[in-house]
Amino acid sequence: MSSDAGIAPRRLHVAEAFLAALDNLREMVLGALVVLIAGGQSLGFGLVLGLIGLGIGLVAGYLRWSHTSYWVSGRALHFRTGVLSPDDTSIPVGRIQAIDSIQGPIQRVFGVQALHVQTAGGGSEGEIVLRAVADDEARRLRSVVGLPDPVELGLPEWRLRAGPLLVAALTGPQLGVLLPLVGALAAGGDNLLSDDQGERLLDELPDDAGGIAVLVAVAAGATLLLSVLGAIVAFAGFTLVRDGDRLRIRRGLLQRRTASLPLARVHAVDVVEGVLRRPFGLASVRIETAGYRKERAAAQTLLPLVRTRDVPRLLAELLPALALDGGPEQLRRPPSRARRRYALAPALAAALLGIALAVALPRAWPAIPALALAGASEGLLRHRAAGWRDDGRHLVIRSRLLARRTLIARVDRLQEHGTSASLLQRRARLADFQAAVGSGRTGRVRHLEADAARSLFERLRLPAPSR
Amino acid sequence: MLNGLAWSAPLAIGLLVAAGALTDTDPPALAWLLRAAAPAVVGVAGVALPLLRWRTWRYEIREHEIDLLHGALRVRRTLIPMTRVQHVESERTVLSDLFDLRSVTVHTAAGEHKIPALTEGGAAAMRDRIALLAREPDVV
Repeated sequence: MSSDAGIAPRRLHVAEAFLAALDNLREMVLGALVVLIAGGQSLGFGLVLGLIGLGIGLVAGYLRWSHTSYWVSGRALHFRTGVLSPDDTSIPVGRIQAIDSIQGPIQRVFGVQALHVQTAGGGSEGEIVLRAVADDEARRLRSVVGLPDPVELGLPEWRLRAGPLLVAALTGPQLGVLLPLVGALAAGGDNLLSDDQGERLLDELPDDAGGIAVLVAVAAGATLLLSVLGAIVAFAGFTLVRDGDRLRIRRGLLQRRTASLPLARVHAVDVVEGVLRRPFGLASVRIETAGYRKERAAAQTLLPLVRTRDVPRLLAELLPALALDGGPEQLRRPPSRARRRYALAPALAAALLGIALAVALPRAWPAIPALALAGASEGLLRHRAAGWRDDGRHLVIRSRLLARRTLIARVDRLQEHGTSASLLQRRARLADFQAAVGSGRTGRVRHLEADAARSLFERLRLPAPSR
Repeated sequence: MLNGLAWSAPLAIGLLVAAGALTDTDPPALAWLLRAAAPAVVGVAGVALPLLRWRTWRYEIREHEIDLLHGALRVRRTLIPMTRVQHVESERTVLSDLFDLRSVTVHTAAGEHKIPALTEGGAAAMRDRIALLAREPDVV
């Protein structure tokens, strides 16, 4: 449409001056602190120093803003910044894959957005970052480049509403670990410490045991609250759109970010059914991508909270390459004679924990059988959860470590796969199987029939030359 | 084998020290048990296991894949498609220089795999062969 249109060189929104000033100040704070502490100067001197720093920062920010410009000409986007020795960056319009917008707190105060210009091969940080662009300027740039705002395209989108957001925050993975702990403390704390043992312990401790229990409970409560708030801040307004061959994810309460991800980069998804979510048929879905390994967990979330039965349908819509025929439920399972092996390891580990506890606090000896039993039942549940499936295009591996995780990976993107068997497993003709995807996530099923593991190993090596 | 010795020797010394400390107080049987355990630890963890590990190491570099088989007690077999190899490097350490040995490490997006105890020429040849076979860029 507007293929020959250009944009004459123009400055960013004046908010850029403040953003640059903030950067400068951040760099100066450390130096100022060193001067203050080393010099042992008075508060007044510090104040003067601070004001001078503020002035310099603002002037430098203004200068940077006034020497920063972008323009579109000759079918390329150009960006120039720098006062003394300006840096020039140019990207041919054809190479621009997406323009992501991110609104940090400062951008929101000024009503502008930061535009990250994405090219193939770049990370999540754009090749060119325009930190302050007014909305209509952004729209104009998008239309000249031919990449309209996905939100305005009216594509079907998946949205995390307020109710599910709260549920997602309340059933987060951290809570699954903490809640039982808090409960056990509340219930068991009194019983354990009510007798002579407790009395003696009470005397030995600097503070009374009740006070400590309260402290622990408060600390745990604060952690809970923080994790709930953290989840809300990270996932508020979560919106997911598939725009051709890219996924666009918008999320965040304080910092509103829109990230985009080429579908081809998604090597696998991980359906995680947490301890608190699985009873309600809920799960979250993570994306396993190549090259994004070092990014934060929230950035790797495809769907923060979904009904597990909706997952196949959503995958078909969002990531057709990972859509399974017949749903992920038809898994092959390890033999039932492997149950003993599944139960034994966690039972032993839990019993050891119990023994350690009993050594420290002899009255807690009933914890040994109780923990061993809990470990054994977790092991049996692991056996029930474990499974795999391979239909030539996808490899599905399900395992359980309290939470049940189902890895759905593209066979043509597997990084490596292998089998392993210990001495005891070899005697029982059993073997483990594992496969790794580009994000470093490894899916593993334990104690398969050795023949099944070997035939899976052989099947996965076939497609290599066909690429 | 050197790696095995490196951690089993201090453990054995620790056992001997513990035995020395125990002789004053406890019945001597326990101390003798610890003293007997020391060479056994070195023998098994320092000599036998590493030898077994070395004897069971197998690798095969084919046109389309790298096939690794190793492990003494737990036998692992790993297959790395050649197109997944990101880069490959050969390494030497002060210790390995004593025996003119090199190792080759293959890196993929998911992790790395080390093939130890190669001769100098063998390591260079393997590194160049893998690099040549993996030259076709991966579609990510």
